[in-house]
Amino acid sequence: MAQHLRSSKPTFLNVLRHSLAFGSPSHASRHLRHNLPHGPLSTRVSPNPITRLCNTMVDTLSSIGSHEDANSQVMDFPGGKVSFTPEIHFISESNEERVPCYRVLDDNGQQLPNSQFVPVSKEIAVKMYSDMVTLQMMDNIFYEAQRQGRLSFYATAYGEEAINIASAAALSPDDVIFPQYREPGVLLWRGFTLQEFANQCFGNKSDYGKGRQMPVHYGSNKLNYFTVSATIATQLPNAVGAAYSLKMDGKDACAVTFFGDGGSSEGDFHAAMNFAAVMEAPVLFICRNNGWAISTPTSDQFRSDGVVVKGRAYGVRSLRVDGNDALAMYSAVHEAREMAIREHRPILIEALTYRVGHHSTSDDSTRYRSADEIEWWNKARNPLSRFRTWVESNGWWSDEAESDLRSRIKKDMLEAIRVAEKTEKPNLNHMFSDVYDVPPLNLREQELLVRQAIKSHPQDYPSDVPL
Amino acid sequence: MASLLGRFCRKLVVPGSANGSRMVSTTACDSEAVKSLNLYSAINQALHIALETDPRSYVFGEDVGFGGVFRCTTGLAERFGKNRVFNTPLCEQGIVGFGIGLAAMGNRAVVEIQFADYIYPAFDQIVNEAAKFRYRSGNQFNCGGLTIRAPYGAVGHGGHYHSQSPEAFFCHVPGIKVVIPRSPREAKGLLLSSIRDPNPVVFFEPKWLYRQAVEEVPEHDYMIPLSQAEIIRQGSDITLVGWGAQLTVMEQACLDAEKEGISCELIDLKTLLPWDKETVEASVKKTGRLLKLFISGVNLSGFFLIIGLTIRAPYGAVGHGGHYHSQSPEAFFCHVPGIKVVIPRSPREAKGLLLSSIRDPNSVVFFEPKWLYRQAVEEVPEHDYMIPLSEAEVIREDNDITLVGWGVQLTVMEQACLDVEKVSALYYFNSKIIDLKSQLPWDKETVEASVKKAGMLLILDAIKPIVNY
Repeated sequence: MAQHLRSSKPTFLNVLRHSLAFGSPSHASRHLRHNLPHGPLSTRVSPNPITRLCNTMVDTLSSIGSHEDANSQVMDFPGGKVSFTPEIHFISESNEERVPCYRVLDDNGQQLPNSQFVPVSKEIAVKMYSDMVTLQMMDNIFYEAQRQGRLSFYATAYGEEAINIASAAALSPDDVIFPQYREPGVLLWRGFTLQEFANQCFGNKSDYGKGRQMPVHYGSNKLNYFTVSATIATQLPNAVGAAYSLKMDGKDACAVTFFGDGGSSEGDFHAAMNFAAVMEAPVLFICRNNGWAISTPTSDQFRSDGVVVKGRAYGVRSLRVDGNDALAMYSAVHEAREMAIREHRPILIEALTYRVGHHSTSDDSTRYRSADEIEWWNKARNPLSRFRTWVESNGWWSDEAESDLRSRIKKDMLEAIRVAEKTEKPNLNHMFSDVYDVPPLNLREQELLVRQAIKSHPQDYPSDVPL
Repeated sequence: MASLLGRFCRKLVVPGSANGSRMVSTTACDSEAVKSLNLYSAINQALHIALETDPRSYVFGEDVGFGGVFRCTTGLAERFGKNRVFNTPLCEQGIVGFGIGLAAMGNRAVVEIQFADYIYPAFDQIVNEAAKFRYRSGNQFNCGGLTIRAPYGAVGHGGHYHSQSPEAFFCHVPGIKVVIPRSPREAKGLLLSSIRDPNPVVFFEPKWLYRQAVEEVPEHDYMIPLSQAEIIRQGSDITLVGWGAQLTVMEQACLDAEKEGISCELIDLKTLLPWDKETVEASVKKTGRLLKLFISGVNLSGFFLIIGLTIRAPYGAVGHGGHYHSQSPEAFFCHVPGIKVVIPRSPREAKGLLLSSIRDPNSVVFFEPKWLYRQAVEEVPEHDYMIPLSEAEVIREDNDITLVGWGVQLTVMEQACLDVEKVSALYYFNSKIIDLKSQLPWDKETVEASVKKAGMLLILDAIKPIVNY
């Protein structure tokens, strides 16, 4: 007995009495509470250390279930019971196998046997495919417009059309979106017109943003899509707060926020995930892991098995999905949304994909990756062709439908650009409005000064800004 | 500072309530009930009223649930429930980010940062999200329901990290409001105004006064308007402007000065951004002299370790950068003693100044005007040369007015000088231009010498966006 005591002495001395005062009755502590021993451990305090050890050991043993052996006894710490082990065993930095990726369609667009997915009606499937094509063509034409000097800047979503459209299709119009900047497809699905996109890109007076931001910084309160801000991942904690609001208001809706592999390195990602778990907020974190943050590959971004494994660290349920598989994306987001709203919990979805295009028009990605690699992803793993195959296999699409669609989009896009280009810029007063709800004195004065300066030096000011 | 505080700690007289005439406050009617409260209790009352009057309002932050480390949130969780008043994880960027999201959905989020010293992780959220939320969206969205409260200021024993007064950083951020009350009665009214103001507000509470200041505070729901300064002591010889806890000190200074025959007019600014320029201007017109007191700065020398770090960053407007690729944040850094801030105006200057910065044993923040990365071309010596820091250069000699600038705006200023010369045919208006180069520490001597000669000074501190189309 004494020998046994000596060998396990440090372990037993670590047994603490734990007072049962928990702060908020969150579901976590409720879950843990029932694991606690039924009463406080021994209150007998003896001056003799050996006697104390014996007493403690007796108490502990009597509170442990009979199936447990000497190697897996339990300890109480704030936060709940943990079993302990005399072996020093580090949790490996990664699992032996990477987390598998959910997909429904193979690379050729054939449905995999035994695939589970949420069925999609013809109407939805055709709209999904059409919007993916529209997104791709819109990107093409705006990109070209920037190259021609008609736009100052543009960023495409090539390769990520399935993520954009399928996720939007699986959501309800009441779900609020906090985008990064590569998700215009969500707006497109919800009804943002090509003209509205063009107006923002050209910064004319019809732009809802009043011409204040760079192109692709879209926003629409009507469509529940919060305005894009260029800072990375700052939208994530905002989405959690919005989700909490939806929960408190009892809405059948969730918040959805997008970010890239690069965004998952930002502090705001970690802050948001932790808050979402603690606040039990119905928010979807959709990570577009497209392999690149400008020129930084994921091997320079993190050393974990991608982003999906980070969910567990925060107590967040997570899923890895093939981001180039529209059906898989649709099902993943559909299921995640249900869970988030019904169970009041955040869900992390890592959509694996590839950024086929350059980071933006200010980037030439052939400087840091091979043109072959880009071409392979564009051809072999193209989300549009895979989904088209599936849609056609159901008899819902044809070559004729394709060419009709493409010629219509091209016509509409060129018209949208023509109109956006010749629409007036916003009035000068919009430089000063909306900084606050009402312009304060200093801004009113500044506007007067600017107007005076324009009067005396008209040649130094742009002639297309109406006064 | 400690002895100064010691002098005041025992018998703290709330500014504006003792000697001298005082503008009548509109906060309390004679018939309304008042209670003697200290600052944290007044704030607590305001929070109770705010939560009571708007069911979609929330109070949260670290340790807020049990009443907060300064007792400002006592009783709120018990009364309004843990769904509306709750602890958050220890993460300021999360706290403020979450608050912005709540506010964006039309709620009032009253967020507590435990000490102003810890607000910096949330600075990105405040500057790049909260302040710009309405403007960048074309007024489709706003987070006006957000109020961020934080105890600030020296308290005697707080050291580096429980004493900071960071209000100056926030005063350079259009889109937010910055409010600082001087007393319990002011705090309750200003906090209720801040919470209900449709713009995000940063509300700094002088922690020194949490217990020390006691005042009769009306029990009812009242608001004190933002952006309205108050003359709390009339005078005729000099105008003193201050806020928060320093007004106590300043009021004592006024009394001392009166004994020497100087009549001081004391103004409580209350709202630092947007500030009440009209009241201050009217007062200065009357007295002819202005003194503004910051509580920070002088005490914090020796703040930074000498680690010889040089931080380079492209800055400034470039034409198409929008909100997030055009900012000129050098002003923030000029309030941080212990670092140097350097901005070159051209390629030759950049090489020499950067080499000096790297080899300087202090930490240097080196802003590079991105507009000039490709645009500006110059003959640059190929050898290793350094241009001294903290030495301004007169790049254009003249007599009538001194212009001080740095970085890319010197190009604009130089053009402005030429224009002015052409236009003024009747009299010559010749301008001297000084390139400051180092904003911190700055070459005061060169500038002073020039202003002594010219008599007029104009400092151009940023390119306003319109110039860059």
